[in-house]
Amino acid sequence: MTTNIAPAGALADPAAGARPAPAIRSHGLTRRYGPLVAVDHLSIQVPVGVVAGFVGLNGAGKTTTIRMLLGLIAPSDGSAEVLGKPITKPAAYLSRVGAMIEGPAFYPTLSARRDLDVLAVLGGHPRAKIQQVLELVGLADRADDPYRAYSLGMKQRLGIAAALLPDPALLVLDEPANGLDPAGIIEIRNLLRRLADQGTTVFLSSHLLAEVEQISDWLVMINHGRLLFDGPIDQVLDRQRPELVVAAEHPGDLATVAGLAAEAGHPDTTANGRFLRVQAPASFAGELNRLAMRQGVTLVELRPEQPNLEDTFLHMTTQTPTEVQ
Amino acid sequence: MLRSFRSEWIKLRRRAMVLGGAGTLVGFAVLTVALTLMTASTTPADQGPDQGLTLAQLAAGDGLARTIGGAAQFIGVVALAMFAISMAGEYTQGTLRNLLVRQPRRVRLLGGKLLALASFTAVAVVTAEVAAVVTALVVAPSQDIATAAWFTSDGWAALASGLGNLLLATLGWGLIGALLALLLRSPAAAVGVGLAYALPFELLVTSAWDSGVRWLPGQLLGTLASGGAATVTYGRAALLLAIYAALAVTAGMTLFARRDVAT
Repeated sequence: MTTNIAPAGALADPAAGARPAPAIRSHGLTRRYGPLVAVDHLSIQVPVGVVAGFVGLNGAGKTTTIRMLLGLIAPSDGSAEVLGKPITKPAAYLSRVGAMIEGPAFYPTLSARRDLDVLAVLGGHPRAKIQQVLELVGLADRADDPYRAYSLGMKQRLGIAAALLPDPALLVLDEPANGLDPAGIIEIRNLLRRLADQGTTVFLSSHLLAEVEQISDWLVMINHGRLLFDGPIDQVLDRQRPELVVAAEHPGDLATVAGLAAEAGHPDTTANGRFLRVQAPASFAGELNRLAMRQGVTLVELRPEQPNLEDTFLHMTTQTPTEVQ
Repeated sequence: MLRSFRSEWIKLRRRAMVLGGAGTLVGFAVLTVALTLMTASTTPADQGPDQGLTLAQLAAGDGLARTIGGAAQFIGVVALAMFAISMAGEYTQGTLRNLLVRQPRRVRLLGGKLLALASFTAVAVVTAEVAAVVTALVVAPSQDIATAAWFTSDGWAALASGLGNLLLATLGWGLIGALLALLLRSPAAAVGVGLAYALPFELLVTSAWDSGVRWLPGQLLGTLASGGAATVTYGRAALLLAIYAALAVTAGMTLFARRDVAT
């Protein structure tokens, strides 16, 4: 399923008249390695200005997709555009793209400042930007230490700093939270949110689904190289129906509660130990409580449980492609 | 290409490259000159074309240039390793993907990198030449070798042409290292294969095939460094090496431009 939004500030696509061009658009993008199909006819559209989570199981084809979008590997089939330019001409758009692919990679004996200097000079970015991005990721104090002396979290921050050097219109980050402590994750989350608010599109590949859920407003989900979902994250969460989790003072009363829920139009229930899960919106909680009281059933726990990305992801990745569509 | 060149020089100023690469190269030159002068005798020894020089040969106008030229193969092997490690290291460290995101025009990136490595090698070879001359001036008196002829106009000319030939031969070895790095994408493999080719392989081939000295790149680079040999003229060596270099650069650029970067 594909859903598009057209946010303000989207790039003008001359070929499409006034229609805004997405930050990333692919049509049947495919990459084969011999008999293995790493990316299988992937068609996605990521609008400008969103934080887009890019999720999938290990080996789902996320990094291969990112490498194709950055011109590092050629697709076997299909096409894609980044910032309105075809990926066959990466020089046309990479000056406006910042990326960290498969973790940070720098020269171990150079200092962080020198490592960034290598990339700033190569990309033609002002050297003054180096100090700015070092401060932004909280590495300014350790900028002259050799890269090899850095912790994993510091290396990760340096990778993000390098990606920010070109003042990117599109920031592509592959697992940016790896090795970061909780405070670091929050800092990076806030930084990415701030960048998105300023108009930068963030394409974020991560296996930390809770993190993706918190920060993203768009989601691209793939499995075995195939697209499962591409659209606003709320849409995918809405696919999982909300539940009420109920516990009664006497567990034997749960059957009565299930019957009451069914009579009220919510027949889908699951007993799980001392809990009953009723598929119903949070607004039904009050009514269910009143119905139970009238029947002399005392509820000791009654809480709504909203669907989360982790459950939705597991649900979708364990379905067959036909079921998902 | 200029940005790639300047960017590469930031990396080349690393201590590992300056001491480990250029320092080793200078060290080999100094050691070769010192040992050549210290082991010289009045009669020729069977130690190869430009080693085991007699005292009389060393005292001639081109004596100093021939002494330094004796280090050509050692210096070449160091250059091969420097180019191979610098190029293949980008693959194994994963830094190539960063470079290609910032400079997606691959031919420009590789061109700038090769030019930077070549200029770094040139600085190292000139430094090695200077260090070798100083070493010769220090050691020669202790061996009763007259040095007056070294600083005549003929001596200076021999020294200058020797330096040019040494530099070209060294860059030739470096290009072999770069091509191996692009093919194998591993510093250890590139250096290992390069050393095996430069040292035992060509010697074995030339011992079984006499004409090998006229065709094999390593043999031709040796001829170029020594300014020509009885079996192969300088002109033939230079022409063949220019053709090999053009082929190597074309093959390397094509490979680099077209191959996926999956590391």
